[in-house]
Amino acid sequence: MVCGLAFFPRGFRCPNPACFGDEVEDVRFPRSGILSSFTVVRYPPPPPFVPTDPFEAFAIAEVEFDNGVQVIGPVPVEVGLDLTIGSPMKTEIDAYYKNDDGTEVVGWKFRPVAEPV
Amino acid sequence: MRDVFVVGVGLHPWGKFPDKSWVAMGADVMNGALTDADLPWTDVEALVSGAMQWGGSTGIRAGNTIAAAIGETGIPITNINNACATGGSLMRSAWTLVASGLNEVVMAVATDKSPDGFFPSVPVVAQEPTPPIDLLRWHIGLPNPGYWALEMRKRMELYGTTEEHLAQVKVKNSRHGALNPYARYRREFTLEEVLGSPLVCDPLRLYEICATSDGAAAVILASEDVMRRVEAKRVKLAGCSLASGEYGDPTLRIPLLSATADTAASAPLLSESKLAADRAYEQAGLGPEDMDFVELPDNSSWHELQYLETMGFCDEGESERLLDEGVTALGGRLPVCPSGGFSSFGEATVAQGLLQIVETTWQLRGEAGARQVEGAKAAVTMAYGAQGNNSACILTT
Repeated sequence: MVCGLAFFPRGFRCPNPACFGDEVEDVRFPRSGILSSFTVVRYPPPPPFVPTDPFEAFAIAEVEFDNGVQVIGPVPVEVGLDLTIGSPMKTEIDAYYKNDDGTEVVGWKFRPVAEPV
Repeated sequence: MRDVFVVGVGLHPWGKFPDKSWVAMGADVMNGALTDADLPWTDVEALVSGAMQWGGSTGIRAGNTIAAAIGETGIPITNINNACATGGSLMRSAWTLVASGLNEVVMAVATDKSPDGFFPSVPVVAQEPTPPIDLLRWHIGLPNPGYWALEMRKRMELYGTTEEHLAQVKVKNSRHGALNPYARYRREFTLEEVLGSPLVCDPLRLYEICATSDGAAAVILASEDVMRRVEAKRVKLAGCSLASGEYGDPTLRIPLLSATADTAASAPLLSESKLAADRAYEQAGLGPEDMDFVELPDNSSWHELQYLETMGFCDEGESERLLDEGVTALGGRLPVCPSGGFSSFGEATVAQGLLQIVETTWQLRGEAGARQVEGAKAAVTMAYGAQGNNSACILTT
């Protein structure tokens, strides 16, 4: 990092044109952010998405972090579809689903929490 | 740079045409534009064509594919894909060729056949060290309307937009589309019907999102000399811009996974679209207040509300009031999408920007029939710039 900008996902150069830096380093995101928006996907997306069978609607959250970035991610199904803008959301690493060969596809999810962590 | 004029337009009806090839649709609209201009194909000095990703390699080189079908003449052919800004990008390419004096007659054509339902991922066959972003977004499962829904929800929080507002956009545009013989959906939708349609990506409902369609359009641009020789009604391309996104824009762009935080944003929402509109106004020496109507990208109800502001027709948060007061309906002060918009035509990515030019040309010539905006002398068109690119065109009499 030359200019200190945080971005996601990892890139190989700084995307700030005023910086134009070619040095980047990995930093940790805050564990939680604030729900800036969300939607509920009510029809199965096309592959490579693997829908549940039968298909169940699922929520996708947009979470704003205090490092100046907002990121989208799925909300765990057990949370349900009723979310509140402005709520604290915690990042979890969890399986999205299993591929045909049984390997788990793992990614980030956002879960509402009572207090920021 | 010299003045450039629209001297011929051709449009295919929009819908689903499984029994007709996109090549034949393209040939039809090219022939239609040539007939309209009263020019032979052999007078066209260059062709710019939409590169249709859904058609595989011959679709990506659609201009060459259609030229081979109707008779190759050896002219320069350029195939462009700038997502929904393709039509505007074709206009800009054709405009630069004529405005610079390099060519007298240039044709833009785009023909598209869309997959049903959500636009799927375009396969990536290049070997890469990490998965492409588009693949990651599909693992999360966010279809294009989901991106629009995320912005719509924010707008509702900010400005108190109601579900009725979202539905009224469709009701209004369906009234326009009912008057257009080229539209896919040629009937009025009621408020109850729209509000009763299923949610696709909350808060957007099925009838508040444009359908994926097949369509084609062609436009011939020419110098003033040619315009006078063929005795075309005067329609000048007074502004034709292209812009890309600015760093710090908070828009969550298809197919990205992140954006600048709203609280950290240093550029406006849809920065590429605002830049494109501003540049076209400057080029034309006109402002939003000079426009008699607008063809904007009503891909969803969010788009229509947001683009009125992005294109400078009102302040942030005021679009709902314009809708409520009937300003944006045919007969109002600023009819929005008199064609019926993408809401009535559906989305045919590379062709929809040219559809707007065809409609605007008909309107400025006074040939728009039952949906005519009386006395229209100037209008602006804009599609939706996915992944941060967009164009605006201003046409005047």
